[in-house]
Amino acid sequence: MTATLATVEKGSIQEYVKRVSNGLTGIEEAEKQDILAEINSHLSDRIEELRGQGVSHPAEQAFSALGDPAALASQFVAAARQQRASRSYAPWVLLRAAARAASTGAKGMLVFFVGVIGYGAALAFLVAALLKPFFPQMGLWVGSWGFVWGMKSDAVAGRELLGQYFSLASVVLAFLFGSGCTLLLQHLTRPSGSVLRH
Amino acid sequence: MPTNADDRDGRWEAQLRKGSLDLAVLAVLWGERLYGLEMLRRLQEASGLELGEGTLYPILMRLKQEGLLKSTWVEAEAGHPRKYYWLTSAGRQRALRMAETWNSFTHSISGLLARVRDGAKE
Repeated sequence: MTATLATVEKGSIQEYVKRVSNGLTGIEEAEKQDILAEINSHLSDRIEELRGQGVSHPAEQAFSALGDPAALASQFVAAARQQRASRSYAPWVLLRAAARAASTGAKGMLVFFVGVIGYGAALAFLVAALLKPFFPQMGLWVGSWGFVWGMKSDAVAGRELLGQYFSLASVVLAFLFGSGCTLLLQHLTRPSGSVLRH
Repeated sequence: MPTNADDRDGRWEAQLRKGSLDLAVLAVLWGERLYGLEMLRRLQEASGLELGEGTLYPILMRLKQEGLLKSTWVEAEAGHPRKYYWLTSAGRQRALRMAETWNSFTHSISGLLARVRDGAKE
């Protein structure tokens, strides 16, 4: 079928594919070439199909049905990013994915807050563990006012529970919060579908 | 001019379609090897669902990355190669689980909808 495509249509396809290519940032070269080849193949088939149906400007209609090249490219990029994020163990990759999700609605906002609070807590516990040797008054303090993980005010009475095990407990909690948050964000940022038209 | 109610209905319908998209693609590939344009035709013919052409390919990429699909390029009589997709074992398992959930959901909500239909007749 491609053999019957007019030179001008082949040129139009190449132009469309090139515009998609420009938008495929951050996608591996082999995967990018695969995507572009598939779009090329689709357009070639679609133009022939539309011509067979007697459509007067088949190329224009085929491009229109596939949509704006930049928008199409952004869908591929979004799918690739989501996939990378859902497989990544790097907090910054997951947090970036969560930040992008935050703009998509209430669920996205929730995912972002889970990330910020989870990693924030992990960082706080880690900092507490590192500060303990320099600030011996760091600890798990309890009193009639409640409890605090860190340093209590001198103005209130309380007793410290963990002693020398404070650093170890802080590192364990940092690990639990960090890894738990990672697994949760991997699950929550896992891609779902897109929109069907009827 | 569309009303707010029309807008809300449209958003609800879009969300419903979004939720059923993966299942539709997995179902159309059940027992078959198809290329993108064939999938679009089958979806249209079998279910009346018209998937946006630009929407299909990113979804196929994602499902493949999730290990639910495999693909290969095949030289065609058309004079250019076509990329054929088929379900992996994990893809078939996912399709079965999703179909089970879908059937269970539609069965349980049908009772409620019967009351709505009855109300509309009155």
